[in-house]
Amino acid sequence: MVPIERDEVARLMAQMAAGDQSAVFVFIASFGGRLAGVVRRQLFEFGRRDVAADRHELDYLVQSAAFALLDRAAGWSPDGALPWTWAERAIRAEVVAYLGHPSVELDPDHAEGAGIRRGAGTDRSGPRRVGGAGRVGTGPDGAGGPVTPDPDEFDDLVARHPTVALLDEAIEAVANARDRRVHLEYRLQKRSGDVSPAHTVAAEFGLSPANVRQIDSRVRRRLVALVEADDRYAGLRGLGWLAA
Amino acid sequence: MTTMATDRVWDTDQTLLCERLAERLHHQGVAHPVAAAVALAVRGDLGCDRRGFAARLGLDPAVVEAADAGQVALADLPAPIVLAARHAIHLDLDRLAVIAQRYEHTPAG
Repeated sequence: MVPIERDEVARLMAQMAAGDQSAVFVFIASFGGRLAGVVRRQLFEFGRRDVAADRHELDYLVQSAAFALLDRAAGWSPDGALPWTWAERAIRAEVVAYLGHPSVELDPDHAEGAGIRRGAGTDRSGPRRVGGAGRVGTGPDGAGGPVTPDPDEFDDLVARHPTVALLDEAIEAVANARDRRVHLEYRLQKRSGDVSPAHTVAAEFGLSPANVRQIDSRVRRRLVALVEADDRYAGLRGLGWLAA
Repeated sequence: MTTMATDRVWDTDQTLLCERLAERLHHQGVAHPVAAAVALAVRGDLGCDRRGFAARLGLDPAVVEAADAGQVALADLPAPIVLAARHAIHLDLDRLAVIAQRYEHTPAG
């Protein structure tokens, strides 16, 4: 444990309040650990220890927390609580926006034991649309709910090609419904030659381009880990889709 | 006044931070948001105000101000800023250049 210099906090917050955005770099370097503590606690409350344990995702959320402080720096008083305590609600909103919806991830093993089938995860009874018109789920992120049958090109590929079907199954195993759709749309846009795939997909999902790239990166990391660890997905090893 | 923290330095992905800052600057209507984010990152790393930063890198303060404000394209950033970005904070300038190109084709604001 090392002491926090409240004077340094006040100096950086004043700098940010004055519009000097270079301060956000110093703030994260100096107090990112404190921001990470707040973010981690909130992730635990949402049951998302998996996100908290992922250094890349935690870092992304630390940056989001710092931007939340940057936006609110003018309203902070050095006589009050420390900024990350003062702005905890705003940081929480960033976490919620990132996760898509504050929910506990369904444990497939537990669900199957209880005779429950995952709505967006294991129900393969009909085709599902990757983007646009097809609507999935009942929550804000579409996670966990029923899927509107709406055939499209990707679903056609899933039906025709075992490897694509296996890939789709793997994606469903590592991502919630929203992240699956974002990942698929991003990869398909990129492969179709879209020069700004993150911007295209961000506009469709109401996310920022950086968030789209982050979601894609997260899903790919999890896919790679799953494919390496589980021999059921051995057929996907070395697939170009998994590369950056 | 002091209180206790759990660590001193958070090792963040500086390139991602630049990318995200650039995104915000783009929405604010800045002409060259990626270049501005790079200049801000380097200045932030040195912990200087604009005048101190200019003196430290041997630059005209007006040039630093223009870079901060996103009035200078990434390719035209002064060499000392680019060198510091690449070697001091290890920004992935190739990746940022691709993003800068995309912004050139996307209306600001």
